[in-house]
Amino acid sequence: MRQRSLIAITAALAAGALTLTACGSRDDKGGDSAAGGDTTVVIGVDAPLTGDLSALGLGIKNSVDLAAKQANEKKYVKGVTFKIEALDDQAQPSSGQQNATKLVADKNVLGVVGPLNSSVAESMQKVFDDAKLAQVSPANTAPALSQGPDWNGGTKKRPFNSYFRTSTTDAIQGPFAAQYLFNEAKKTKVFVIDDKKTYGAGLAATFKAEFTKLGGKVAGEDHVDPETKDFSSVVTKIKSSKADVVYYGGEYPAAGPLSKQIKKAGAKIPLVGGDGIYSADFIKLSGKEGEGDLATSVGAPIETLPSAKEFVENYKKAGYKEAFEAYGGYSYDAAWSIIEAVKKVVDDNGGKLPESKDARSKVIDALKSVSFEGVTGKVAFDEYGDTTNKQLTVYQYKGGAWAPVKSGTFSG
Amino acid sequence: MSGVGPVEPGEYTYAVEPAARPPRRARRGKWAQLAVRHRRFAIVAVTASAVAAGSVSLWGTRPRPDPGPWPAQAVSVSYGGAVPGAGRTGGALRFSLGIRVDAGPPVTVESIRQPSPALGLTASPNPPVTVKNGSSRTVVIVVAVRDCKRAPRNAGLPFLDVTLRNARAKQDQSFILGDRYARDLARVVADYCERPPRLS
Repeated sequence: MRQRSLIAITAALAAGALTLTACGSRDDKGGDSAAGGDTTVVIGVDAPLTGDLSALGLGIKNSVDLAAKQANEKKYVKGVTFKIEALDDQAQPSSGQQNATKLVADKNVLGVVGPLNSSVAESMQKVFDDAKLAQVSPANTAPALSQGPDWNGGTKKRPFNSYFRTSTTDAIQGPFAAQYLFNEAKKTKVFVIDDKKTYGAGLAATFKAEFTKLGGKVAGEDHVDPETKDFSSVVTKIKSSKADVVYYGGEYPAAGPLSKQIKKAGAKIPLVGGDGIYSADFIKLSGKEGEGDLATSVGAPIETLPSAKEFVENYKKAGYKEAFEAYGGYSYDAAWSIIEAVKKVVDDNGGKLPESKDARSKVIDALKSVSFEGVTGKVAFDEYGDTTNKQLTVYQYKGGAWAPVKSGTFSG
Repeated sequence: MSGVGPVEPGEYTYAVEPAARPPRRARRGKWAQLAVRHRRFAIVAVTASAVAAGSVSLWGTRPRPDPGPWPAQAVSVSYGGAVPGAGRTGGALRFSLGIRVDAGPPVTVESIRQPSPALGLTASPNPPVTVKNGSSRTVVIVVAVRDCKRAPRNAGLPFLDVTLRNARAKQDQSFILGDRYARDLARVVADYCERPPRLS
């Protein structure tokens, strides 16, 4: 009996030791859950991993990590193991540019997912394009990034061949919000605020243009510093303007407190914004006063996409500490588009990856023709590098959470 | 108690063989007092309940066929341009709307609306219109100006609201038809609402 016990204990200890050894080797490989092959391909990630916008940034990083792990588990690209290299841009253009330079210098990086902010993307695009390194943003919505500065004047021209995105643009998001507010919510007087950043100012401009074309009036306009949390001066202006809605072009760290202060000052009017405020952190920051506020965000509601349900389950199973947030599905799809492109390059080259520089430009070419069913629907890119899947949804803060109220598809 | 004995008995812990089992005593509980036929009835009832519960559980967890995509994910709607001959006269834009289903079960278009109260919409054929997977239907839409005062001037992204239904769900979806539709609609509104007043 003692001998049998000893054998059992020894076996259990041996199994435990083997398990720990296996865990250790996975960690050494940067979190890859299974080796796909001998060649390592790095997918760079650039996002705000610290600071006010880190909730969105960490959701991006984790979702790219999940895509890489699943590609490795499935041995999706024969002979290739994917790793991620995630860099923190702190939502600062200068940090983004430094990160771009660093990623370009690593010859194993064949594609980059990110960034979150359009202003950061502006500083990275040329660095990537000069190195012929593909960049797929899951979150940039400023139209000029893909369609050139004169996109609204009727001359669309793609400035950078290496830039792609899986999110739709503010050229659709702002006007869709305007149509909803004017025609359905019956709002006629808006106070427009933005944070003077590329994303916020651009979004507010597309909203305002459509709202006035529809017959709505602008009761007032102002800018805020997103770093401040005291909005008393703009709140006074909003209250005296008699506006029936506030439109905010910017992100949740400022939008949440702004909404709270507007309502606490006695102006019981909703604050409306774009995907930059569609975050669980907006709910926390605006508190119960934010109930009734609205946000548009890219894509269809997750419950209407079976592929998204699978993503949510896999994300949960993977055990990430942070939520995938607004751009998780788009980040997974952005990473998977790079994986698909790498697969095509390898397949077209007799099952081997070409030399780094050649491989990078071939990945860009392959991205132009990728087409697959992703988390967010069909993933493919048009002649500007924009997603062909142009869906968006109006959400309302109801009962402590965001709830979808209207979805649209751009089919023009 | 200060001493701690062995955690489990060793091979020579017991000096003698364990005592023989005492004889079973007759049951004295309520169960034993029940008449045989009552006990049989109870056994049958419990077994039947267990079988029924098992069946319900199996039925609930049976593999079900995939109900397919939500209707808005299966349908594409496109602006086909002004219908030749009918044109954009009298404050109305008449145009063709292509509806295509590319996945899942048939999709029924239950209604087509546009959101502005200053415009009216009619469709021919009048919904409901059902479209099967892999096929398309064309619907002719007429959007007419009702109220020039409130009609949208030069809207950048006008859309149509469409109610769709398939085996999976019923769903309202807005379809933004793009620049051509926006331009054609704006021209009709401008031609009709900004024309010079007629001299009598």
